[in-house]
Parts: sequence; C-alpha cells; structure tokens
Amino acid sequence: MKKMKIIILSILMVCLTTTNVFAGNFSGGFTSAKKKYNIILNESFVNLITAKKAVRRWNKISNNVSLSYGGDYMRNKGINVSIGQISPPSKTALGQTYYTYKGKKVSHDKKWDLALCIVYSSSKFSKNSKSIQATITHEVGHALSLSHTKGKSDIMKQGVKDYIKLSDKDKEWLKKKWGQ
Amino acid sequence: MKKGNNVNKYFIFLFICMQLVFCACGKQTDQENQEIQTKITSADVPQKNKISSDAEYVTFSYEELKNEAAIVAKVEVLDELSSENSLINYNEEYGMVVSSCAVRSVRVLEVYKNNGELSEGNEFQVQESCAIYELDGEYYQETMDDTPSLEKGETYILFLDDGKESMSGKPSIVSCNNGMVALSRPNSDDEYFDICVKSIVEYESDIPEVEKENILQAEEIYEINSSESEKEEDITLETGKEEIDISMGMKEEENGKIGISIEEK
Repeated sequence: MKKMKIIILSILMVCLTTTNVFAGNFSGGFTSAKKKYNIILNESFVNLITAKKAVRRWNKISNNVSLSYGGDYMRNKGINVSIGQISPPSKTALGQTYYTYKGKKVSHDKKWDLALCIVYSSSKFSKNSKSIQATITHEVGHALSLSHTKGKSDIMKQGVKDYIKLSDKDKEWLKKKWGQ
Repeated sequence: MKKGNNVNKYFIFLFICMQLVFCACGKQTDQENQEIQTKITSADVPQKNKISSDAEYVTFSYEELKNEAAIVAKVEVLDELSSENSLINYNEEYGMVVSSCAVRSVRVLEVYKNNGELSEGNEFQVQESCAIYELDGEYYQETMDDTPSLEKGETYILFLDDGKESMSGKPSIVSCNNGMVALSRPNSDDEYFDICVKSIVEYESDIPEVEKENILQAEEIYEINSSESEKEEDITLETGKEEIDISMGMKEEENGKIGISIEEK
C-alpha cells in the first residue's frame, strides 16, 4: 500500500511539473536557457553589434536566462541566428524558427537542443531598421519557448514592429517560463 | 514415340511462355510499387515528423488584406499535398531545410479581385506554406505556425499575392492562415475569425446592405454563442460540391464591436 502511494504521488508530481513548465503560451523548448548563441548575418541588413544587442534583450530578466555570444555556427546545440541570408518563402514572411533534437527536426511543442532563428531577407525590411531588430528579438523569444502574444507593444506579437524594447508582458512570460 | 516427343515439346514451350509472361508482370508491379513510393503524402509521414515551426509574418486586417491581395477568389482544391508538389530550400551550412512550400492546383469558382488573368472555371496553381519531403531516409511534413494545408475537395476563399516574391513563382496565400477562409469550417480559426466573417458577409451573403456595412466597418468582430445573438441572418455558402446553409447571429455594441455566431443549419 505504501509503495502504491509513493508511485501515485510520484506520477502526480511529474504531471504537475510538466504542466507548469509547458503551461500557458509556451510550446516546447530547451531544458536550460543558459545558452551560447551564434550570429550569421548579411551586413547589408544589420551590423553585428546591433544584432547582438537584439539577442541579448532577453538577458537580465530571469536569473535562469543567459545568452552569451559563442562565435561559430553550432551544429548540434544552442541558438543560431541567421539574418538576411535566406530568401523568404513568400512576400510577407519575416522570420521563422526551426528546432532540432539530436540532429533531427522537431515541432515547436517538443523538446529541442538547437534552435535556428531565421530573419529572412524580406523586402519589408530596411537596413538596421527597428523592424529587423524586433524580428531578431522575436525569433530568439521563440527559441526561449515563448509563443505569440497579442499586446500592441509586445515583441512577441505577430507582424512588423517599429519598436525594439520588450514589453512588461514579454518579460512576465519569460519569467513564468524560466523563473524569476 | 514421335507423338510423345511432340507433346512434350509443346508443354515445354507453353511452360517457357508462361514463365516469360509472369516475369514481365512481376517487373511491371515492382515498377508501379516504386512509382507509388516516390510520391509521399501526409499518410506516409509519421506523426513525430509532422512539424510546425514558429513563424513571423506581416498580419493584415480585412481591408488591408483586400488591398494587399492581387487576387481574391473562391476556389476548389483539386490535388492533395505531397512530395511531388512540394518545394524545399535545403541549406548545407545549417544542415536543414530553411524554407519550404507547396504548389497546389485549384479551380476557380468565383473571382472577387483579379489580376486580369483569371475567370470562373480556370484551373491554376497557388503556393501554400506547407510541404512534404524526404530527408536522410525519413519523411517530414512541415508547416508555418500550425497553418493547416489546403484539403483536396474543399472550397476556400483565398487572398493571394502576385507571386513575384514567392519561392515557387506562383501566387501565394497571403500570410498563412491570415489569407485563407475554409468555407466548410468558417468558424474554425479563432485567430482570424473576423476575416472569415467579413469575407463571407461581403462575398457570399445577401444580407441587407445596412447590416453588411455595419459588419464590414466593425472595429472588432468577436465570436459569441448563438444564444447571445440579438438577430440572425441566413446565408447559403456555395462550395464546389454542395450548398451549406448557415445562420449568422449578431450582437451589436455601441463601441464598434459586433459579436457574431455561426452555426450550420
């Protein structure tokens, strides 16, 4: 009887923990948000300093989120950001984030160990514009398991943006996912 | 003895002929099997490889969508999504597919906005944001932002661009599910419910002009239960195969918002 209780309690604990990690706006994700990131970019779109700033906007919000520049493209881990190198599949596509786990693509509701954040060479962008910076931050937000929101000033809102700062809601969702 | 020999020869000859016939049939079957296997459809893709990426794209209100689109048409989908009509962009450096799409065949049922090339009954091709492909011995089906693939036999109102910047060169559905309305499931998309309602009201309904304008000009359209509606209008949706009768309930608020319910009768 005691053993049964322990087993049932353990199952309940696992279920509760899983629910907390993947609740609300969140899809799948890394098991840890202390990650190296790499940037491969087209200099005619944005310079490296601006791109790094856009990625690091997610730092200093949660103690468990720390993105540090890694340098070279990482084939099996971390966050790789490609900016202005790939043509969009259609006129209005701005960016896309793909995920892999042990080298194979997975859907956005699964666990991943690598995220490729793509900012397309879209005609909707002009060089170094706020919209490019916002899209970089937005795609990295997806890599950190944040889904789309609807707030007018959210970085995680769908669509072209003329602002670059995270809203209070963006920060709140990040902390809900990864802790204070 | 001679007669026996002739009979034996006859049977040997017949046996050889039969063997040749059976071998040819077998080869043909193998070839047919090979041809079938190279065309991968959704049924061939294991669930774990049905993937949605997170995508960001420009989003449009109803009026913006009509302006952005080069073509607005009601179409019936003629084919199914498969590896044969999919295109992928595989990047060696990243070791993965970095963009994808499919080119689907549709027949025009009605044209609401035209680039001058389409008329009713035409068949043409459109690009959608889903694709099926094989990579490293596994089959994958990809989409952007959980956008469903166009279903064969279904009828849609599609808002299409001019195709000049699309991967396939064909007119592409504007911004994934922002630019598509499934007529057999008009209230299936929570995110773009207003686009569905306004499209149906403008292109498919005979409701009085005053009410039509109220809905089309509404600042916000949101979904309500039919029990909450204050008045109802009947609308018949004509698809390629059938007519679907729906009841559209309305509840107008003073702040420019209108609650709409849609129920199939």
